[in-house]
Amino acid sequence: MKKILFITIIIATSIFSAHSQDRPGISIFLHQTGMYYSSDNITSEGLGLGIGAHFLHKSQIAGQVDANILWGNGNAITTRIAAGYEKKGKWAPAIYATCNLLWGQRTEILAENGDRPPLPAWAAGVRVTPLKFRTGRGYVSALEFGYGVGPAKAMSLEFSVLSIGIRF
Amino acid sequence: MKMNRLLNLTIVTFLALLVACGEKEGDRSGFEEATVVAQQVNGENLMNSVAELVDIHLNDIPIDNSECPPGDLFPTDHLTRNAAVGYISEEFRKMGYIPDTAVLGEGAYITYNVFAEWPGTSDAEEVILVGSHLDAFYGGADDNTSAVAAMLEAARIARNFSFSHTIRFIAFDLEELGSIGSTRYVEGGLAGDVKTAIVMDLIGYRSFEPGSQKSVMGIRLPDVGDYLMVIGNRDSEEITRQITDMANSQSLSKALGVLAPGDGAYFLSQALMRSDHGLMWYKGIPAVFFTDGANFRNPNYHLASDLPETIDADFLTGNTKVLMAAIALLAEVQL
Repeated sequence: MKKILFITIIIATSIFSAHSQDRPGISIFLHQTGMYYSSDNITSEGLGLGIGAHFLHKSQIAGQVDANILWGNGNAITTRIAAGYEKKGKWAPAIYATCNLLWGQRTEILAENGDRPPLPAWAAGVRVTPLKFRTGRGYVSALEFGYGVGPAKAMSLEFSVLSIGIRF
Repeated sequence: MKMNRLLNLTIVTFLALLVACGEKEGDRSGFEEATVVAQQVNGENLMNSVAELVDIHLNDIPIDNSECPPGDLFPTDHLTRNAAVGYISEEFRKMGYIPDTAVLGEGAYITYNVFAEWPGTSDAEEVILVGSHLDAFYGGADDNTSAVAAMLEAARIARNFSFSHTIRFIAFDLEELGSIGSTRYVEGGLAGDVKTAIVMDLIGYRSFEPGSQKSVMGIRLPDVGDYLMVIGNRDSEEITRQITDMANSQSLSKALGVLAPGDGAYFLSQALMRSDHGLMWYKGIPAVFFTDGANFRNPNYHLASDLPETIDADFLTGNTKVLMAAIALLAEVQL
Protein backbone atom coordinates (compact mmCIF):
# COMPACT_ATOMS: atom_id res chain seq x y z
CA MET A 1 0.00 0.00 0.00
CA LYS A 2 2.82 2.38 0.93
CA LYS A 3 4.65 1.52 -2.29
CA ILE A 4 1.56 2.19 -4.38
CA LEU A 5 1.06 5.52 -2.67
CA PHE A 6 4.68 6.53 -3.12
CA ILE A 7 4.68 5.54 -6.79
CA THR A 8 1.42 7.42 -7.37
CA ILE A 9 2.88 10.58 -5.87
CA ILE A 10 6.09 10.31 -7.90
CA ILE A 11 4.22 9.70 -11.17
CA ALA A 12 1.73 12.48 -10.58
CA THR A 13 4.49 14.88 -9.59
CA SER A 14 6.53 13.99 -12.66
CA ILE A 15 3.61 14.46 -15.02
CA PHE A 16 2.52 17.77 -13.59
CA SER A 17 5.94 19.25 -12.98
CA ALA A 18 6.59 19.85 -16.67
CA HIS A 19 4.99 23.25 -16.32
CA SER A 20 5.66 26.28 -14.18
CA GLN A 21 5.24 25.90 -10.45
CA ASP A 22 4.55 29.17 -8.70
CA ARG A 23 1.80 30.74 -10.72
CA PRO A 24 -1.14 31.97 -8.62
CA GLY A 25 -4.48 30.42 -9.40
CA ILE A 26 -7.33 28.17 -8.53
CA SER A 27 -7.11 24.40 -8.38
CA ILE A 28 -10.00 22.00 -8.19
CA PHE A 29 -9.08 19.02 -6.08
CA LEU A 30 -10.36 15.58 -5.26
CA HIS A 31 -9.31 13.69 -2.19
CA GLN A 32 -10.00 10.70 -0.06
CA THR A 33 -10.79 11.71 3.51
CA GLY A 34 -11.59 10.32 6.93
CA MET A 35 -12.96 12.02 9.98
CA TYR A 36 -13.87 11.36 13.60
CA TYR A 37 -15.85 13.99 15.48
CA SER A 38 -16.76 13.43 19.09
CA SER A 39 -18.44 15.82 21.49
CA ASP A 40 -20.61 15.41 24.56
CA ASN A 41 -23.66 15.12 22.34
CA ILE A 42 -22.55 14.21 18.81
CA THR A 43 -20.48 11.43 17.34
CA SER A 44 -19.84 11.54 13.62
CA GLU A 45 -17.28 9.49 11.78
CA GLY A 46 -16.47 7.80 8.55
CA LEU A 47 -14.35 7.44 5.45
CA GLY A 48 -15.21 9.02 2.15
CA LEU A 49 -14.44 11.33 -0.71
CA GLY A 50 -14.38 15.05 -1.19
CA ILE A 51 -14.12 17.76 -3.80
CA GLY A 52 -13.02 21.32 -3.33
CA ALA A 53 -11.27 24.39 -4.60
CA HIS A 54 -7.80 25.56 -3.61
CA PHE A 55 -6.78 29.19 -4.04
CA LEU A 56 -3.20 30.39 -4.05
CA HIS A 57 -2.21 34.05 -3.82
CA LYS A 58 1.37 35.24 -4.28
CA SER A 59 2.55 31.64 -4.16
CA GLN A 60 2.25 31.45 -0.38
CA ILE A 61 -1.17 32.55 0.86
CA ALA A 62 -3.59 29.70 0.41
CA GLY A 63 -7.31 29.23 0.86
CA GLN A 64 -9.42 26.15 0.48
CA VAL A 65 -13.08 25.16 0.51
CA ASP A 66 -14.35 21.65 0.11
CA ALA A 67 -17.28 19.33 0.69
CA ASN A 68 -16.99 15.68 1.63
CA ILE A 69 -19.28 12.75 2.05
CA LEU A 70 -18.37 10.13 4.63
CA TRP A 71 -19.70 6.67 5.29
CA GLY A 72 -19.33 4.61 8.45
CA ASN A 73 -21.92 5.97 10.84
CA GLY A 74 -24.61 6.90 8.38
CA ASN A 75 -24.07 9.44 5.64
CA ALA A 76 -22.23 12.45 7.00
CA ILE A 77 -21.31 15.54 5.02
CA THR A 78 -18.58 17.94 5.98
CA THR A 79 -17.97 21.34 4.50
CA ARG A 80 -14.69 22.99 5.30
CA ILE A 81 -13.14 26.38 4.82
CA ALA A 82 -9.46 26.93 5.40
CA ALA A 83 -6.84 29.62 5.05
CA GLY A 84 -3.14 29.25 5.54
CA TYR A 85 0.44 29.53 4.51
CA GLU A 86 2.29 27.43 1.97
CA LYS A 87 6.01 27.21 1.44
CA LYS A 88 7.18 28.39 -1.96
CA GLY A 89 8.58 25.93 -4.42
CA LYS A 90 7.88 22.46 -5.65
CA TRP A 91 7.76 20.97 -2.18
CA ALA A 92 5.10 23.15 -0.56
CA PRO A 93 4.20 21.98 2.93
CA ALA A 94 1.38 24.05 4.33
CA ILE A 95 -0.47 24.81 7.51
CA TYR A 96 -4.07 25.98 7.54
CA ALA A 97 -6.53 27.35 10.04
CA THR A 98 -9.77 25.50 9.37
CA CYS A 99 -13.44 25.66 10.21
CA ASN A 100 -15.46 22.50 9.59
CA LEU A 101 -19.23 22.22 9.47
CA LEU A 102 -20.71 18.74 9.88
CA TRP A 103 -24.07 17.86 8.39
CA GLY A 104 -25.99 14.69 7.84
CA GLN A 105 -26.33 11.62 10.00
CA ARG A 106 -24.62 11.19 13.34
CA THR A 107 -25.20 9.57 16.70
CA GLU A 108 -26.81 12.08 19.02
CA ILE A 109 -27.12 12.43 22.77
CA LEU A 110 -30.33 14.28 23.52
CA ALA A 111 -30.76 17.07 26.04
CA GLU A 112 -32.76 16.31 29.20
CA ASN A 113 -35.87 17.71 27.54
CA GLY A 114 -35.37 15.57 24.46
CA ASP A 115 -33.99 18.31 22.26
CA ARG A 116 -31.54 17.24 19.61
CA PRO A 117 -28.09 18.80 19.40
CA PRO A 118 -27.63 21.60 16.88
CA LEU A 119 -27.17 20.98 13.19
CA PRO A 120 -24.62 21.58 11.83
CA ALA A 121 -21.95 20.68 14.35
CA TRP A 122 -18.69 22.52 13.92
CA ALA A 123 -15.06 22.48 14.85
CA ALA A 124 -12.23 24.93 14.34
CA GLY A 125 -8.59 23.96 14.26
CA VAL A 126 -5.51 23.42 12.18
CA ARG A 127 -4.58 21.20 9.29
CA VAL A 128 -1.09 20.37 8.10
CA THR A 129 -0.09 19.09 4.69
CA PRO A 130 3.55 18.08 5.04
CA LEU A 131 3.82 16.21 1.75
CA LYS A 132 2.38 18.68 -0.69
CA PHE A 133 4.08 19.09 -4.04
CA ARG A 134 3.22 21.80 -6.52
CA THR A 135 3.23 20.97 -10.16
CA GLY A 136 2.65 22.87 -13.31
CA ARG A 137 -0.91 21.67 -13.50
CA GLY A 138 -1.79 21.72 -9.85
CA TYR A 139 -0.55 19.81 -6.88
CA VAL A 140 -0.37 16.44 -5.20
CA SER A 141 -0.58 16.09 -1.46
CA ALA A 142 -0.28 13.02 0.71
CA LEU A 143 -1.00 12.34 4.38
CA GLU A 144 -2.80 15.47 5.49
CA PHE A 145 -3.83 15.68 9.12
CA GLY A 146 -6.25 17.97 10.91
CA TYR A 147 -7.26 18.56 14.50
CA GLY A 148 -10.01 20.80 15.76
CA VAL A 149 -12.11 21.64 18.76
CA GLY A 150 -15.69 22.82 19.06
CA PRO A 151 -18.67 23.25 21.36
CA ALA A 152 -19.63 20.64 23.98
CA LYS A 153 -15.99 19.57 24.33
CA ALA A 154 -15.89 18.57 20.71
CA MET A 155 -12.77 17.07 19.24
CA SER A 156 -12.33 16.60 15.54
CA LEU A 157 -9.68 14.46 13.88
CA GLU A 158 -9.37 14.23 10.13
CA PHE A 159 -6.93 12.82 7.65
CA SER A 160 -6.49 12.47 3.96
CA VAL A 161 -4.23 9.90 2.36
CA LEU A 162 -4.11 11.53 -1.04
CA SER A 163 -5.31 14.78 -2.54
CA ILE A 164 -4.85 15.78 -6.15
CA GLY A 165 -5.51 19.32 -7.41
CA ILE A 166 -5.72 20.41 -11.02
CA ARG A 167 -5.15 24.06 -11.83
CA PHE A 168 -7.48 26.01 -14.10
CA MET B 1 -24.38 44.33 -9.07
CA LYS B 2 -24.19 40.64 -9.76
CA MET B 3 -21.96 40.20 -6.71
CA ASN B 4 -24.58 41.94 -4.53
CA ARG B 5 -27.27 39.60 -5.78
CA LEU B 6 -25.06 36.62 -5.14
CA LEU B 7 -24.31 37.89 -1.63
CA ASN B 8 -28.01 38.43 -0.89
CA LEU B 9 -28.87 35.00 -2.21
CA THR B 10 -26.18 33.46 -0.01
CA ILE B 11 -27.47 35.26 3.10
CA VAL B 12 -31.09 34.28 2.41
CA THR B 13 -30.10 30.65 1.81
CA PHE B 14 -28.08 30.58 5.03
CA LEU B 15 -30.98 32.07 7.06
CA ALA B 16 -33.42 29.59 5.50
CA LEU B 17 -31.11 26.75 6.48
CA LEU B 18 -30.91 28.03 10.04
CA VAL B 19 -34.72 28.20 10.27
CA ALA B 20 -35.08 24.72 8.77
CA CYS B 21 -32.61 23.32 11.29
CA GLY B 22 -34.34 24.97 14.26
CA GLU B 23 -35.74 22.85 17.06
CA LYS B 24 -39.43 22.14 17.24
CA GLU B 25 -41.06 22.59 20.62
CA GLY B 26 -41.53 19.24 22.35
CA ASP B 27 -45.04 17.89 22.81
CA ARG B 28 -45.74 17.28 26.50
CA SER B 29 -49.41 16.41 26.20
CA GLY B 30 -50.25 13.25 28.07
CA PHE B 31 -47.26 13.45 30.42
CA GLU B 32 -49.34 14.11 33.53
CA GLU B 33 -51.79 11.28 32.86
CA ALA B 34 -48.91 8.93 32.14
CA THR B 35 -47.23 9.91 35.39
CA VAL B 36 -50.39 9.10 37.35
CA VAL B 37 -50.24 5.57 35.95
CA ALA B 38 -46.49 5.32 36.61
CA GLN B 39 -46.92 6.13 40.29
CA GLN B 40 -48.52 2.71 40.78
CA VAL B 41 -45.17 0.98 40.32
CA ASN B 42 -44.24 -0.92 43.45
CA GLY B 43 -40.54 -1.41 44.16
CA GLU B 44 -41.17 -4.31 46.49
CA ASN B 45 -42.96 -6.26 43.76
CA LEU B 46 -40.02 -5.65 41.45
CA MET B 47 -37.36 -6.87 43.85
CA ASN B 48 -39.45 -9.90 44.78
CA SER B 49 -39.74 -10.82 41.11
CA VAL B 50 -35.99 -10.37 40.64
CA ALA B 51 -35.21 -12.61 43.62
CA GLU B 52 -37.64 -15.33 42.53
CA LEU B 53 -36.55 -15.35 38.91
CA VAL B 54 -32.84 -15.36 39.73
CA ASP B 55 -33.43 -18.33 42.01
CA ILE B 56 -35.28 -20.07 39.18
CA HIS B 57 -32.42 -19.48 36.74
CA LEU B 58 -29.82 -20.71 39.20
CA ASN B 59 -31.73 -23.95 39.74
CA ASP B 60 -32.65 -24.57 36.11
CA ILE B 61 -30.89 -26.96 33.73
CA PRO B 62 -28.77 -25.11 31.14
CA ILE B 63 -29.71 -25.38 27.49
CA ASP B 64 -27.96 -27.81 25.17
CA ASN B 65 -25.07 -25.67 23.96
CA SER B 66 -23.35 -28.30 21.84
CA GLU B 67 -23.73 -26.12 18.75
CA CYS B 68 -22.57 -23.01 20.53
CA PRO B 69 -19.42 -23.47 22.61
CA PRO B 70 -18.96 -21.03 25.48
CA GLY B 71 -16.94 -17.87 25.02
CA ASP B 72 -15.63 -15.32 27.47
CA LEU B 73 -18.62 -13.03 27.17
CA PHE B 74 -21.05 -15.86 26.42
CA PRO B 75 -20.81 -18.61 29.05
CA THR B 76 -23.39 -20.83 27.36
CA ASP B 77 -22.67 -23.62 29.85
CA HIS B 78 -24.76 -21.48 32.20
CA LEU B 79 -27.56 -20.27 29.92
CA THR B 80 -31.03 -21.18 31.19
CA ARG B 81 -34.54 -20.42 30.00
CA ASN B 82 -36.97 -23.33 30.46
CA ALA B 83 -38.07 -22.64 34.02
CA ALA B 84 -38.33 -18.91 33.27
CA VAL B 85 -40.82 -19.66 30.48
CA GLY B 86 -43.04 -21.41 33.00
CA TYR B 87 -42.60 -18.75 35.68
CA ILE B 88 -43.54 -15.86 33.39
CA SER B 89 -46.56 -17.74 32.02
CA GLU B 90 -47.73 -18.44 35.53
CA GLU B 91 -47.24 -14.83 36.65
CA PHE B 92 -49.34 -13.61 33.70
CA ARG B 93 -52.00 -16.15 34.61
CA LYS B 94 -52.06 -15.04 38.24
CA MET B 95 -52.73 -11.46 37.10
CA GLY B 96 -55.74 -12.62 35.11
CA TYR B 97 -54.22 -12.77 31.64
CA ILE B 98 -54.54 -15.72 29.30
CA PRO B 99 -50.89 -16.09 28.28
CA ASP B 100 -49.74 -17.76 25.10
CA THR B 101 -46.40 -18.95 23.79
CA ALA B 102 -45.13 -18.44 20.26
CA VAL B 103 -43.08 -21.58 19.72
CA LEU B 104 -40.73 -20.97 16.81
CA GLY B 105 -37.91 -23.00 15.31
CA GLU B 106 -36.89 -26.49 16.24
CA GLY B 107 -34.08 -28.55 17.74
CA ALA B 108 -31.86 -27.36 20.56
CA TYR B 109 -32.59 -23.75 19.74
CA ILE B 110 -36.34 -23.94 19.56
CA THR B 111 -37.65 -20.70 21.05
CA TYR B 112 -40.52 -20.04 23.43
CA ASN B 113 -41.69 -16.44 23.32
CA VAL B 114 -44.21 -15.99 26.13
CA PHE B 115 -46.76 -13.23 25.72
CA ALA B 116 -49.98 -11.80 27.10
CA GLU B 117 -52.20 -9.00 25.83
CA TRP B 118 -54.28 -6.27 27.39
CA PRO B 119 -56.77 -5.35 24.65
CA GLY B 120 -57.25 -1.75 23.60
CA THR B 121 -60.66 -0.15 23.71
CA SER B 122 -60.77 1.86 20.49
CA ASP B 123 -57.70 1.07 18.36
CA ALA B 124 -57.20 -2.49 19.50
CA GLU B 125 -55.69 -3.60 16.18
CA GLU B 126 -52.67 -1.36 16.82
CA VAL B 127 -50.31 -2.92 19.33
CA ILE B 128 -47.81 -1.41 21.71
CA LEU B 129 -45.26 -4.17 22.28
CA VAL B 130 -43.33 -4.33 25.55
CA GLY B 131 -40.47 -6.81 25.34
CA SER B 132 -37.65 -8.22 27.41
CA HIS B 133 -35.70 -11.45 27.04
CA LEU B 134 -36.21 -14.31 29.44
CA ASP B 135 -33.01 -16.30 29.02
CA ALA B 136 -30.07 -15.59 31.32
CA PHE B 137 -26.50 -16.54 32.05
CA TYR B 138 -26.12 -17.69 35.67
CA GLY B 139 -28.70 -15.88 37.82
CA GLY B 140 -28.96 -12.92 35.46
CA ALA B 141 -30.26 -10.44 38.02
CA ASP B 142 -29.62 -7.45 35.81
CA ASP B 143 -29.41 -9.38 32.53
CA ASN B 144 -32.28 -9.71 32.14
CA THR B 145 -34.37 -10.43 35.21
CA SER B 146 -34.51 -6.71 35.99
CA ALA B 147 -36.31 -6.05 32.70
CA VAL B 148 -38.59 -9.07 32.99
CA ALA B 149 -39.60 -7.89 36.48
CA ALA B 150 -40.35 -4.43 35.08
CA MET B 151 -42.45 -5.96 32.30
CA LEU B 152 -44.42 -8.08 34.78
CA GLU B 153 -45.01 -5.08 37.05
CA ALA B 154 -46.23 -3.07 34.05
CA ALA B 155 -48.53 -5.93 33.06
CA ARG B 156 -49.96 -5.97 36.59
CA ILE B 157 -50.59 -2.21 36.61
CA ALA B 158 -52.01 -2.10 33.07
CA ARG B 159 -55.02 -4.11 34.15
CA ASN B 160 -56.08 -1.22 36.39
CA PHE B 161 -56.54 1.07 33.38
CA SER B 162 -58.07 1.28 29.94
CA PHE B 163 -55.98 2.12 26.89
CA SER B 164 -56.89 2.93 23.31
CA HIS B 165 -54.28 0.53 21.92
CA THR B 166 -53.64 -3.10 22.75
CA ILE B 167 -50.58 -3.71 24.91
CA ARG B 168 -48.64 -6.90 24.25
CA PHE B 169 -46.19 -7.97 26.94
CA ILE B 170 -43.71 -10.44 25.55
CA ALA B 171 -40.69 -12.27 26.94
CA PHE B 172 -38.40 -13.20 24.06
CA ASP B 173 -36.34 -16.36 24.18
CA LEU B 174 -32.64 -16.89 23.43
CA GLU B 175 -31.63 -13.27 23.02
CA GLU B 176 -28.23 -14.20 24.35
CA LEU B 177 -27.49 -16.39 21.35
CA GLY B 178 -28.22 -13.61 18.88
CA SER B 179 -31.79 -12.43 19.48
CA ILE B 180 -33.07 -15.70 18.05
CA GLY B 181 -36.54 -15.54 19.60
CA SER B 182 -37.32 -11.97 18.58
CA THR B 183 -35.82 -12.45 15.12
CA ARG B 184 -38.07 -15.43 14.46
CA TYR B 185 -41.00 -13.52 15.88
CA VAL B 186 -40.50 -10.57 13.54
CA GLU B 187 -39.50 -12.67 10.53
CA GLY B 188 -42.56 -14.84 11.12
CA GLY B 189 -44.81 -11.81 10.63
CA LEU B 190 -46.03 -11.83 14.22
CA ALA B 191 -45.02 -8.21 14.74
CA GLY B 192 -46.99 -6.95 11.76
CA ASP B 193 -49.54 -5.26 13.99
CA VAL B 194 -46.96 -3.52 16.20
CA LYS B 195 -47.31 0.24 16.11
CA THR B 196 -44.48 0.89 18.54
CA ALA B 197 -42.20 -1.31 20.62
CA ILE B 198 -40.37 -0.78 23.88
CA VAL B 199 -37.60 -3.31 24.38
CA MET B 200 -35.58 -3.58 27.58
CA ASP B 201 -32.29 -5.30 28.31
CA LEU B 202 -30.59 -4.72 31.70
CA ILE B 203 -32.23 -1.83 33.50
CA GLY B 204 -31.27 -2.30 37.15
CA TYR B 205 -27.61 -1.40 37.61
CA ARG B 206 -26.21 2.04 38.29
CA SER B 207 -23.09 3.52 39.78
CA PHE B 208 -22.27 7.00 41.00
CA GLU B 209 -18.52 6.48 40.54
CA PRO B 210 -16.80 8.69 37.94
CA GLY B 211 -15.63 6.51 35.08
CA SER B 212 -18.25 3.85 35.75
CA GLN B 213 -19.84 4.38 32.34
CA LYS B 214 -17.63 3.60 29.38
CA SER B 215 -17.97 4.93 25.86
CA VAL B 216 -19.81 2.70 23.42
CA MET B 217 -17.70 2.20 20.28
CA GLY B 218 -16.44 5.77 20.28
CA ILE B 219 -19.77 7.29 21.31
CA ARG B 220 -18.99 9.54 24.25
CA LEU B 221 -21.42 9.14 27.16
CA PRO B 222 -21.58 10.86 30.55
CA ASP B 223 -19.02 8.86 32.51
CA VAL B 224 -21.04 8.48 35.72
CA GLY B 225 -23.32 5.52 35.09
CA ASP B 226 -26.35 6.71 37.00
CA TYR B 227 -28.87 7.01 34.18
CA LEU B 228 -31.19 4.95 32.03
CA MET B 229 -30.38 5.02 28.33
CA VAL B 230 -33.39 5.54 26.09
CA ILE B 231 -32.19 4.66 22.62
CA GLY B 232 -34.00 5.23 19.35
CA ASN B 233 -33.36 5.54 15.65
CA ARG B 234 -34.88 7.51 12.76
CA ASP B 235 -38.19 5.66 12.99
CA SER B 236 -38.51 6.10 16.74
CA GLU B 237 -37.02 9.57 17.05
CA GLU B 238 -40.17 11.30 18.26
CA ILE B 239 -41.00 8.75 20.95
CA THR B 240 -37.38 8.61 22.10
CA ARG B 241 -37.42 12.37 22.55
CA GLN B 242 -40.79 12.28 24.30
CA ILE B 243 -39.84 9.50 26.70
CA THR B 244 -36.53 11.20 27.54
CA ASP B 245 -38.32 14.46 28.23
CA MET B 246 -41.07 12.77 30.26
CA ALA B 247 -38.66 10.73 32.39
CA ASN B 248 -36.64 13.81 33.31
CA SER B 249 -39.34 16.46 33.54
CA GLN B 250 -41.63 14.25 35.63
CA SER B 251 -38.69 13.08 37.80
CA LEU B 252 -39.42 9.42 37.10
CA SER B 253 -35.78 8.50 36.55
CA LYS B 254 -32.67 10.11 35.16
CA ALA B 255 -32.79 9.35 31.46
CA LEU B 256 -30.30 9.89 28.67
CA GLY B 257 -31.77 9.90 25.17
CA VAL B 258 -29.59 8.55 22.39
CA LEU B 259 -30.45 8.67 18.70
CA ALA B 260 -28.72 6.29 16.32
CA PRO B 261 -28.30 7.54 12.74
CA GLY B 262 -30.74 6.25 10.15
CA ASP B 263 -32.12 2.83 10.93
CA GLY B 264 -29.22 2.29 13.34
CA ALA B 265 -27.70 -0.51 11.34
CA TYR B 266 -24.50 1.28 10.40
CA PHE B 267 -21.15 -0.27 11.20
CA LEU B 268 -20.15 2.23 13.88
CA SER B 269 -23.53 2.46 15.64
CA GLN B 270 -24.57 -1.17 15.61
CA ALA B 271 -23.74 -1.58 19.31
CA LEU B 272 -26.91 0.42 19.92
CA MET B 273 -29.08 -2.23 18.28
CA ARG B 274 -27.61 -5.15 20.17
CA SER B 275 -30.82 -6.66 21.58
CA ASP B 276 -34.33 -7.73 20.65
CA HIS B 277 -35.16 -4.40 19.01
CA GLY B 278 -32.45 -4.98 16.40
CA LEU B 279 -34.55 -6.65 13.74
CA MET B 280 -37.41 -4.26 14.44
CA TRP B 281 -35.10 -1.39 13.52
CA TYR B 282 -34.08 -3.21 10.33
CA LYS B 283 -37.74 -3.77 9.46
CA GLY B 284 -38.77 -0.18 10.12
CA ILE B 285 -40.87 -0.90 13.22
CA PRO B 286 -40.57 2.10 15.57
CA ALA B 287 -38.81 0.69 18.61
CA VAL B 288 -37.17 2.32 21.59
CA PHE B 289 -34.61 0.50 23.69
CA PHE B 290 -34.10 0.85 27.46
CA THR B 291 -30.79 -0.23 28.97
CA ASP B 292 -28.37 0.61 31.74
CA GLY B 293 -25.45 0.15 29.38
CA ALA B 294 -24.80 -3.58 29.86
CA ASN B 295 -21.09 -4.46 29.71
CA PHE B 296 -20.22 -0.80 29.18
CA ARG B 297 -21.28 -0.23 32.81
CA ASN B 298 -22.15 -3.35 34.76
CA PRO B 299 -19.01 -5.25 35.93
CA ASN B 300 -21.16 -8.33 36.61
CA TYR B 301 -22.24 -8.67 32.99
CA HIS B 302 -22.57 -12.35 32.04
CA LEU B 303 -20.85 -13.42 35.25
CA ALA B 304 -21.92 -15.52 38.22
CA SER B 305 -21.87 -12.33 40.28
CA ASP B 306 -24.94 -10.93 38.45
CA LEU B 307 -27.07 -11.38 41.57
CA PRO B 308 -29.99 -9.48 43.16
CA GLU B 309 -27.76 -7.64 45.65
CA THR B 310 -26.12 -5.81 42.72
CA ILE B 311 -29.45 -4.38 41.61
CA ASP B 312 -30.25 -0.82 42.70
CA ALA B 313 -33.88 -1.07 43.82
CA ASP B 314 -34.56 2.68 43.53
CA PHE B 315 -33.06 2.80 40.06
CA LEU B 316 -35.06 -0.21 38.90
CA THR B 317 -38.23 1.28 40.40
CA GLY B 318 -37.64 4.61 38.66
CA ASN B 319 -36.91 2.93 35.35
CA THR B 320 -40.07 0.84 35.64
CA LYS B 321 -41.98 4.07 36.19
CA VAL B 322 -40.48 5.36 32.94
CA LEU B 323 -41.63 2.16 31.25
CA MET B 324 -45.13 2.41 32.67
CA ALA B 325 -45.43 6.07 31.77
CA ALA B 326 -44.20 5.36 28.25
CA ILE B 327 -46.77 2.58 27.87
CA ALA B 328 -49.53 4.89 29.11
CA LEU B 329 -48.43 7.62 26.69
CA LEU B 330 -48.07 5.39 23.64
CA ALA B 331 -51.10 3.22 24.28
CA GLU B 332 -53.13 6.34 25.18
CA VAL B 333 -54.40 5.70 28.67
CA GLN B 334 -57.98 6.74 29.34
CA LEU B 335 -58.30 8.18 32.82
